[in-house]
Amino acid sequence: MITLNNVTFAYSKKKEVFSNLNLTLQPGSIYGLLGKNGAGKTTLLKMMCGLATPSSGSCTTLGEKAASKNPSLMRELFFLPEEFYMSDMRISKFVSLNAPFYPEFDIKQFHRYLAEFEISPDNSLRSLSYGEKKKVMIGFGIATNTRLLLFDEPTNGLDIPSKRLFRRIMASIANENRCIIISTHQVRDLESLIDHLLIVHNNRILLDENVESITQKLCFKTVQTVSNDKEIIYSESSLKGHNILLNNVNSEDSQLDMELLFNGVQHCPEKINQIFNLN
Amino acid sequence: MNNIFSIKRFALLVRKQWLENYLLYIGSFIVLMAFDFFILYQSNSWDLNNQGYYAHFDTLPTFIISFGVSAAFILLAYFRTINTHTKQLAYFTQPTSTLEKLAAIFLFMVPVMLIAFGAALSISIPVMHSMYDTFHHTTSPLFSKYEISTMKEAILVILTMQSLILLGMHTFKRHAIVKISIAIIILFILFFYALPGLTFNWILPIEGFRSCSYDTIDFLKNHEYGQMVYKGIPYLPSYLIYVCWFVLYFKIKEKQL
Repeated sequence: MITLNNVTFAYSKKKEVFSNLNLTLQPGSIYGLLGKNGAGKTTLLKMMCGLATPSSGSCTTLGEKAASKNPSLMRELFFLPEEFYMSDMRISKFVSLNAPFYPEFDIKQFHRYLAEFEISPDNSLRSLSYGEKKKVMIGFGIATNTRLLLFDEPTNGLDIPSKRLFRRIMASIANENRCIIISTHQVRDLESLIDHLLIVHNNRILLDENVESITQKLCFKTVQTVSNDKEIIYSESSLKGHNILLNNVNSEDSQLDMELLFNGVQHCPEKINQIFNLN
Repeated sequence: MNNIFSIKRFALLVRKQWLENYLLYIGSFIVLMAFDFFILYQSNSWDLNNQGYYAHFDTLPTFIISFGVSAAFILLAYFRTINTHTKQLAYFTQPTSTLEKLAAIFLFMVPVMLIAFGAALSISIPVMHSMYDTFHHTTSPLFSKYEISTMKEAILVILTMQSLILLGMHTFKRHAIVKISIAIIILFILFFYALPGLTFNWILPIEGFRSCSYDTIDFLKNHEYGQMVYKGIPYLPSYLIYVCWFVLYFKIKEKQL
């Protein structure tokens, strides 16, 4: 669905964001894109929808060169940036102006999401808070029924019930033809939703694995004392004791702790590379 | 699927642009009308109070200034569409082709603006003109030949400036207005001083211009009046307008955010 082949991207000569990046994203998954501030998450999303062009290499989205920004491509993807713009108008008017560009847009579906988020379609966008506007955009984006959804920090600004609702809606729309990519720092919000993790660090993808494979190869535990176990990759203290990330040599079942994994990957990239046989 | 140009998508884009900005467009038209009436009324009052000091009702300055104001208003409306990063993200992720975007910009920048400007003047000038003629018991034409030829040139100059500013908006990421102004000054110097100077071996600076137009420069040198007529493509700044719109297409196509 999305292929990045030897992609190098730089905003200036001094600031290279990606270097010879190779990545393939398949439909049927909800990808979680993690990385520190400035790691290039948003740039990667922009590249996928043609808003940033690699200085070398190629980025192909839905079989088309992303940089072409052809209507045939753009109507099959919806990009929700972290900061977005909505004109001051009624929600119904916003929909009537934007929805016709998306052939699969479903107005009933959109109204259902609005009702779930407790927003009236007759509201003026001017009167809505940032979080409410975000709910409208999320509902609109999902109701476009595009094959590719790119969400940059979608849960920022959402209240706690809305985050839960967001997870439920996203889980309900995932299907084998659709690819959803969510860039986020709020790993706790989306831990149960994401089924494939991409971690961006220092110009490259440090981890590109599905959750099942991660929990097969790594074990996440909370212990009171940290032993000198050579299988421990990373540990950090918490109120409950110590959270540890281990090489899962004993094939233990554990629940993925995305925050711990992210911190482990940042601190010990070589060990993770070894386990997942990454270059 | 047609990725070059679709009438349906173009119509949707024009509808969207109109409905998002119609208050500004209508407001601008009202301001323009008021401006025309005000300027013409002032000019008329001057004529009447000075017992017809001017031989003919003077519409030229009103025409040029109000055309400039119209062009500025329509540029402002477009600037509002793309003046922030978030607006640009919304604009450039719209499922429309580059040609459709360019055609929609052109539609509002040139035909719609000309129609609105023409409508405002068509109402104000005849009204004020008839007041003048009634007072002086004269029947004079609305525009003299000189006025018509100057108006044509003013339209070309302002549309060229407009296309340069549009191009600048899509070229410069920061301090666009300052950079566009510098670019326009450089182009002015290039076309009206440097190129004729180099071509005709004038020793710069020339003492002064009496008037400049697209293909003719009246100049003063050694206290003598002369005229130079441009011939050939490189010396015709009127081509600039086509170049700007052509380059604008690629600027939109290759826009990076």
